[in-house]
Amino acid sequence: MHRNQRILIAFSFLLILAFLFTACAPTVVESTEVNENQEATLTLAGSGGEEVITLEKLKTLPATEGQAGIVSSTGKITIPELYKGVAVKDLVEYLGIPFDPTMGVAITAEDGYSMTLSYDQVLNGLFIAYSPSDGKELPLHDPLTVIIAYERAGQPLNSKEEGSFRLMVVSEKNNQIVDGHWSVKWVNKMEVKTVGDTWALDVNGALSSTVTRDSFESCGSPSCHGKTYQDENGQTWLGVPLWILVGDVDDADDHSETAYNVELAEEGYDINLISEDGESITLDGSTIIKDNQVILANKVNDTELPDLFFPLRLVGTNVDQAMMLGKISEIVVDVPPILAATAEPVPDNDGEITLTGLVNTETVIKDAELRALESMTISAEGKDGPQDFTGVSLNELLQTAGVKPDATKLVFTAADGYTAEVSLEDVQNDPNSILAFMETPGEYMIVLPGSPTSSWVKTVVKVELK
Amino acid sequence: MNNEKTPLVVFAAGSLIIPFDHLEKGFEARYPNIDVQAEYHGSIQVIRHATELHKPIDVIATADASLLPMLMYSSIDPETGIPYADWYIRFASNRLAIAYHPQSAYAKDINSDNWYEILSRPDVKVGLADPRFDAVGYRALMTYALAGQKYSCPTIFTDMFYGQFTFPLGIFSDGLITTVTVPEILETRPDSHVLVRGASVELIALLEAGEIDYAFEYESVIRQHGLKMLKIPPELNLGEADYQEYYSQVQVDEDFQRFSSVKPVFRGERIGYGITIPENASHPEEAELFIAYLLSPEGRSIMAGDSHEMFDPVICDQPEQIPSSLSSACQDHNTE
Repeated sequence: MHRNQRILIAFSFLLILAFLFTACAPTVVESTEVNENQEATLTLAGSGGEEVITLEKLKTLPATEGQAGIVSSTGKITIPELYKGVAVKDLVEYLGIPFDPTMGVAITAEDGYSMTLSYDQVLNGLFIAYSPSDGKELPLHDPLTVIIAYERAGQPLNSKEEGSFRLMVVSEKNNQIVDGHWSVKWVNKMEVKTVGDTWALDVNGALSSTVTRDSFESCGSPSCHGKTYQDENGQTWLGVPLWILVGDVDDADDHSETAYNVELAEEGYDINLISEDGESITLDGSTIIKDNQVILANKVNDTELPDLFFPLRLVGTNVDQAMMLGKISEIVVDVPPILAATAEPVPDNDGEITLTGLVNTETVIKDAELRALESMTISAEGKDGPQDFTGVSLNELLQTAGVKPDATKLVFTAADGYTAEVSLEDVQNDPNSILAFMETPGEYMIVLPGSPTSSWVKTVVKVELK
Repeated sequence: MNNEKTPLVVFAAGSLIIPFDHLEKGFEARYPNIDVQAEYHGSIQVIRHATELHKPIDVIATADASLLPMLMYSSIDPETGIPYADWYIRFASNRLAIAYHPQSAYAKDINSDNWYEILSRPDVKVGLADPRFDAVGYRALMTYALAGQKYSCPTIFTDMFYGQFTFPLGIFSDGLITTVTVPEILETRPDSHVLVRGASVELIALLEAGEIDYAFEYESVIRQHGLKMLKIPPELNLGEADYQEYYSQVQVDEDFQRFSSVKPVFRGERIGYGITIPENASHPEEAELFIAYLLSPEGRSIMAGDSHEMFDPVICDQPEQIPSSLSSACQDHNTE
């Protein structure tokens, strides 16, 4: 973030110079003078940095044109005119940034005013449309596309009145207009960004791990390890019990039912929680053994924590007020580090999967039988971003064993004992639910594109219907 | 003939459209050589036209007086090097209420004690002005935050809004202040029973068309449009002088940098409309006449005729900066 700020400051300086140059130019510019539009630039920013492109460069990108008009917040209508520019979704694609519903596109004007477009607005034109004749909302309307316009009615935009670039929402015909809030003049920057701040928690002990925001939220959901605490103001905090996070790094066993080493904890060790501000508190590991009321909370009242405590705060019935440290970014468990995990090797499952529980016939399917089934490849958003997975349909697999009518849940068990439970209905409704083949022959992974990745169990050996 | 008149550019909040339209007619009849050119926007946009779009404006009137010091005292006009404003007059109040129509779901059951429960029902369509653009929007959120305290039911806010947005509204109480946080993108989910529109006036149209059942609006606006009105308790309507301290227990934050200079924080207080003359006004003398007319018995009568209550006396911020023709009409901010 600081690096981006530095880039921004440097770029802002150049912009100010450019602006001063423009501002000092004669107010009456004839054809002999430099056309202001040739100097116009647009900054495109994203996770990979910034790129400043000129109007001429922008014009080389695929153009979108259409009719665009607006209605002001008090009903004043500006009838549609023909605008031409580049669709924001095409600019996102130009930047090559993977774009998903957790992201948005911030549009900033020269004066610093900023508005952020949502994923659905950028990709699907999700705007409310109004009739240009009477300003009434249209329940159904033609498709809309949000563009960064550089031409109006075949002419460059009037840089004095609306800037060289203007955000507009266009459609094929002149039969609809949108809210004026979505028409930002003097645009000079477009940034593809994740909405809300990203964060990660470093957990260091015998092992070291970094828990990303996504992983923490997944782990901290009520259906996984999530526990709650209600404070004196009646507010509900949600998070992960501290002992579970400690269990990931206290010894070589980092993710199984026995990951948390109780014997080691009983002997006692310090757990240091450190905030972004450098403040810290220390707990004795022996005082929190499997204590679900010492929680590292990432949510309060179902939303992320306020700035005062963001991203994580220690809370719980068994935590003194003075120990409720916020802004936590690191946990250090004071046990000797080991160089590499020496966990028990994953037992050889001989490449088979067991279907059990509420099935008509308990079935064990061998690796060769699985590979003989019709395979399918899907693309899904995993913890590491979009990925292709090849495997067999989970629903077809279930049919081989036969699902009893009273079954409602599926429990997946990994070779290391890790389990995850999902709704059977969710799986049955998603034709892309698969048992994917992992790189190691004879190992499989559950992939459920419609469910949290915490339920995508790796090295799965058993599927139980409940 | 219009060319001979002095144009007076007035930018005002949308909830002032009807009374200011009447005021304009009365003023122009009194001063036939002045042509009032009024434009109405959400209050934040009204100010932005002056401070960020550098439009020459003679009179600015907002539905939230606190926006004037927040966005104008701190903004320097690059032409003159001085702030866009250094005084304002808090001239009118209002109350928040719930607008509905006879066919609204549960219209026969709703009352000032159960409104929050009925509005939270999934089959009830509730309109909310976008709190990023419209003061009614963030004031409605304040009402919900205060309702949790009044009814000793901290889940009122989340019962209403949880699961309605792709990026949720936040609420947090530190025991003294309850803060509502508005995310950068405020977009309802497809199955949401809350409908967000950029301006409260759009909600009136949806109510009249029967597209929504209820919407938070100002009492004056509900009366002006002849809609049914459910009054909400004084602790929650943000319009009572006696509850100023109670209102101050809440605030609404925008969770992003909306303006180059300011990350807006809206503090709970009694609703106050503010009016000022920007320092770069083209016609400051005519602007003084306009404000004086608003504060005169005739202006008060017009506002009252449109159900918009004015303060008497009005309250001045930085009275030493106020033009002398207006200063006699008001008392000091601190002596309210």
